[in-house]
Amino acid sequence: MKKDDHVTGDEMIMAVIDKDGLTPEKQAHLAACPVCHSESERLAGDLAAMGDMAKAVVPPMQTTIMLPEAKVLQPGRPWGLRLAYGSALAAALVVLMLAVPFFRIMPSGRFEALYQDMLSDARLMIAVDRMAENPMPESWAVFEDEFDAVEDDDFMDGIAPGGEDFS
Amino acid sequence: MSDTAGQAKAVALPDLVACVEQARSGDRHAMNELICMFREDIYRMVYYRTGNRMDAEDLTQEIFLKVFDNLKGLKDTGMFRPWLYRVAVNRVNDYHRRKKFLSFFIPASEREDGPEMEDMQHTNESVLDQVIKKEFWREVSAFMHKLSKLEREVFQLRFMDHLGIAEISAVLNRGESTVKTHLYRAVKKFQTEEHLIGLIRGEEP
Repeated sequence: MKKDDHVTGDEMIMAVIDKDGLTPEKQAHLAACPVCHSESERLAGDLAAMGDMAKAVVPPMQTTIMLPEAKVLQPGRPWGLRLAYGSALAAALVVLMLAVPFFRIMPSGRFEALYQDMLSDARLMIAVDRMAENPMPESWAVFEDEFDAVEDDDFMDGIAPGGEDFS
Repeated sequence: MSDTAGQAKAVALPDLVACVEQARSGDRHAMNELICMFREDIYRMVYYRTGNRMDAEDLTQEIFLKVFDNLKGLKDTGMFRPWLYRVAVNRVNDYHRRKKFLSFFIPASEREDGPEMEDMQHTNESVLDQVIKKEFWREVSAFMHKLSKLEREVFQLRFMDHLGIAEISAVLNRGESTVKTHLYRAVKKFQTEEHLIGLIRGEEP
């Protein structure tokens, strides 16, 4: 076998990457020639060994892979109970709808009467207070003030002539 | 390498399709089955891209939630695996966009870049193993930064997440020839990473 028949360096690489990339003649030579076969195996061995050594460098995995959360349907309430809740809600809505006009009419009359009652009570209480403080009529009350203010015996005689002096 | 090389946990495709169909109809047992099938793969895929255990766990959770929320939108249930990875890739890209945006407001000294080293310190491991792991990851990160965004994505999906060419094409919504081209470029750059290859072969401490 001539030296020129040996596979070249580029063909050697191609043989390692993809043997089918070589011509049939070169493939046959590679299989038959111990020198070329050895070279090819050596390169392939180096690359494979590099992969194995890299694998040995990797530290072991310390966590476990978790699956995504399963989409589990929550157990629902029984249909009878759902129906009861639904009916109750519907009834409450109906009552509310009916009651709204009633509440709209009632306040104007009811609150007016209540307001008048409270006003009347307030006036009455004011009058009672005044009566308690001033039991005599108002005109007398003014007179009484003047009487207290002016202690004049002549004046008193004029009011109650001939009265005895009990002081 | 065949396209089916990386089928998750050697689940037969008809079983997977049936499981996806059941999950679409809301079967929680089927959803749990899908989580068991792909949880580790998606978590690892996210960790490679974030370098942070807690972020990777949170994102994995979010990805599965999103997948189950949108499962009814998946037309071809046979394409569940690439679709799942597509959701994951998009979610991780969102994460990086958000992180980049937040980095404007966070001082560089407070940022967390790369994998958290305490995360890597598994129990029952020798100090040497831990050092090698750190060194390996540093080299991988440096290599990834030399790749373009698409080269990095196809390289990771092919050789770290063990997806086939057709699946990567579906995940990234690119043609298979585009995927192969970018994969070719990425592998060519990988060949120049002598220190990384030395670590892989156990030739360098």
